[in-house]
Amino acid sequence: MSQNTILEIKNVSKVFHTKDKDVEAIRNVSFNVKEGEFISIIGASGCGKTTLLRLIAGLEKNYGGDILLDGKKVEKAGLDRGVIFQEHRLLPWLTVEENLTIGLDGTKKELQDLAREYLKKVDLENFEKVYPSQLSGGMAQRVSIARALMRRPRILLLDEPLGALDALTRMNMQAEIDRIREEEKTTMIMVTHDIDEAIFLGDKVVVMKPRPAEVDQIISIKIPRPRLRNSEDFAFYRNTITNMFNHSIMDYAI
Amino acid sequence: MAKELTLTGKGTVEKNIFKKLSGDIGSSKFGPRFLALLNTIAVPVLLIILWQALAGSGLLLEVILPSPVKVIKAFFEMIKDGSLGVDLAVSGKRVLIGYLWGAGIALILGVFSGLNKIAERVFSPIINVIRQIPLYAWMPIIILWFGIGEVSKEIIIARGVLIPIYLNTLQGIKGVQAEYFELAEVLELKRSVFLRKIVLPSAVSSIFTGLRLGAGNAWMAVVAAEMLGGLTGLGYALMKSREFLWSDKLIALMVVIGVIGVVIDVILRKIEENTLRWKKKTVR
Repeated sequence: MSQNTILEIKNVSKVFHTKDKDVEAIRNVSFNVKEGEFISIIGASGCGKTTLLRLIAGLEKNYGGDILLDGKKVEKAGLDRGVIFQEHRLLPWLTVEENLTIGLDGTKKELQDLAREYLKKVDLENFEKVYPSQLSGGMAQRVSIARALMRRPRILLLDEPLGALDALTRMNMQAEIDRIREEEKTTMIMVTHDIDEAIFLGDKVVVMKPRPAEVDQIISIKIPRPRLRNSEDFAFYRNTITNMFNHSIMDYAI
Repeated sequence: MAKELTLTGKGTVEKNIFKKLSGDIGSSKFGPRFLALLNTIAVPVLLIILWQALAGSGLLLEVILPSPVKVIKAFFEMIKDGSLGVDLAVSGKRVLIGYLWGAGIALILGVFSGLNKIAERVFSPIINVIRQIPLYAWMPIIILWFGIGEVSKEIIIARGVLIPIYLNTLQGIKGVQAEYFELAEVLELKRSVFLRKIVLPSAVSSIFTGLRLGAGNAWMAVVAAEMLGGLTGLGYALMKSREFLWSDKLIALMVVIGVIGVVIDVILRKIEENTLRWKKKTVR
């Protein structure tokens, strides 16, 4: 199956300049993302994986190397990249519908229909007129996924989107994201520190080494979907990745 | 060690007593709302009883401290002869005009300064200097320039209103969370949409605080301005009552001024609650 490369990350590095010193956050990261692929980026907290995602999103500027989306260098944020933040980042004073359609052009009717269509996709029918504070964490995050999908991005960037949810909601949401990926065929990159989550969703898992962030290994996950967490294959990948981490975890454990 | 043990013992006993007390209250025939009301009015009622006792004791001249009953009588007298109505209407009109001017200018400058660094650098120091000169210190020059007519009074009120509304508007607009700026970038929101849908709503709460503080200031400023000159208004009525030693009317007027101040605040609070409806709704 030959797919087009949609995103090229070539020798990307990023240094943050603070008052008294320079902090190297990312060093020489390279990998490609093909259309329709799901990439999990996994690494210890604070290893710079979020910075990488923010670079792709265009929220961090001035980096070394090239990030090319459809061959064009990423310089700033834009609608061709949907971003799901760790928190839902819905505006509390707008209803779900208003949150979804903010900044979009179209008649009232068109926008309402569009909002309804995408709420249905994330399993939240009839929640148009509700305020974000009336939603649970998982529901709010689903609205934020709908908000990103509605703008038909080339690629969806998820920054530890389920990090704030409880374990059960988290598993449900993983299945939900898997279903959306299946239906929408959207290319996605997700940053996470949860090994199971990375394997459950990813076509490839990019394992990062911390400080500065470098690619340790890229592992292709060859398990048919939907994946079962208690299958032998799953356990194999879980062990492989856990073993990679054991070394760096030892470094962290003081 | 032994000492510590006794302490713990004591603590437990006290806790038990507290539990018992709250249990008694909980099981009494009065509802919790009545108890809350009782909490609020207990001290005022005590003060009024004390006041009545002191006034009735004959220790103080009636001119110094008239009894509550006399004050209430004076209040109804002022309603009957129409003087209170006239004074209220005159003062109210001044407050309204002064407030609208002050609030209008403060909102425009505040929004402008919040959005534009240059505007903030221009206006903020000026406002800060104006703020450091007390309202009362402004009055002589305002009267010198504009006389003791309506205009001076309205300017004095506007000056009282200007500062809190400007400062709170500025703070509210500058307080927009960095996360929302990122969201606007990611969603490629136009500047006008960003202002209307993100900046203003997140500043609304702070702006309302300014509007409420401003209203309190306006009401205080009108009384101060009227005490300086003129022949109408609540401030003038206060001065006249003092000159004629009508202490009952004096106190009645003070109470009226206080109550109206509270009413204005409550009304603004209701408007605020209505505007910030989304805050009240929570997970059911």
